[in-house]
Amino acid sequence: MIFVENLPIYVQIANDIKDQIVAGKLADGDKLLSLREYSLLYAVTALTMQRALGLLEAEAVIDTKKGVGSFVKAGAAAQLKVRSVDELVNDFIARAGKMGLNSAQIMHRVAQGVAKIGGEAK
Amino acid sequence: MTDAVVIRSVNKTFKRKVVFHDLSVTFPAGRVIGLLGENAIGKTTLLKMIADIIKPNCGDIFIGSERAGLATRARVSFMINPENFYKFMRVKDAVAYYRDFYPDFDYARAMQLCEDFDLGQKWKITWLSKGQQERLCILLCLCRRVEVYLLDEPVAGLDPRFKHESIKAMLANTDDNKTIIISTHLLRDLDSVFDEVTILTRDGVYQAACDDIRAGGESVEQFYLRVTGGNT
Repeated sequence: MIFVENLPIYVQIANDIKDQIVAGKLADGDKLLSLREYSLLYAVTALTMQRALGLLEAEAVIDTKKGVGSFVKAGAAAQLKVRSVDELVNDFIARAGKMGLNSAQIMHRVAQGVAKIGGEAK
Repeated sequence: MTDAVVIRSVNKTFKRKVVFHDLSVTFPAGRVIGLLGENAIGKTTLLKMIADIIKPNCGDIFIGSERAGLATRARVSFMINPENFYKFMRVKDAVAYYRDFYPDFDYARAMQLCEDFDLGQKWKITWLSKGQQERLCILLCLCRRVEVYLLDEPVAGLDPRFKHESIKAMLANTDDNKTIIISTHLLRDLDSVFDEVTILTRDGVYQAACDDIRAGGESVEQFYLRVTGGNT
């Protein structure tokens, strides 16, 4: 994996694992690789990997059972999808606001966009 | 957190050239640490003093709680230069030499790594390319079972694939409680494996955790350029 330069690497790894969960490569209840396996896979130290898993644990995406391993929490994928849609929407509104659009205008433009390209996944 | 290496008020001069004046720095245990700094700032000198290959003029160096000396050489592995091998040596001779010299040397592991690194046992070391020689030196250094590993510019001559292989070997080969100090100019190749960086500058020593630097919105390289910027 290629890391970007100015975001903590443990955050980037946590995001990568979240992406795998959202994409369904890791399903609810699946066992994650061990700390050591992940550390070799991402070519980072065990310390960095520990922080990445710690972050996922703190965000309630995974469950770590001592001596057994880490597992994808039930409902994690659904919850992550909601969260990432929220982030997209918030980001979009904030940017549109910076460009001088008010709420009504934003809604209007979104409606226009949906009418034009459709909201359904293709 | 315990310290793997403690340097306290060290002075080091070569003839009249002052390399370190009143240098104090500590390296925490269980970390992979990048040792950075301009050319001729003293990175190699510092590593050699930690390895007890050269002595400071005055000041204290501790490996854990033990003063650096003959006894601590059994606890520190220093990556040697390819020129240090005898001319007659083949790869297998160098591995056997390490096995005979260091009781802590993991011979089976070294044989495996020779294979992983595409090094033939019967190849003469003087005939190897720079990159192959470097690979041999890295694997010999890593196959000792010690607390502190010191690697001086380990990947300068390696192509991208072997850079990656060497980094993996480094991570796979050392337990979490081991300390690895790596001096390098190739910050971009290695900064993702460093937990921390220690930067030697003419105005003093800067130490920071890499992910703390990135969390501040800076790349490790930008941080390096900023703290060394006053001198250039």
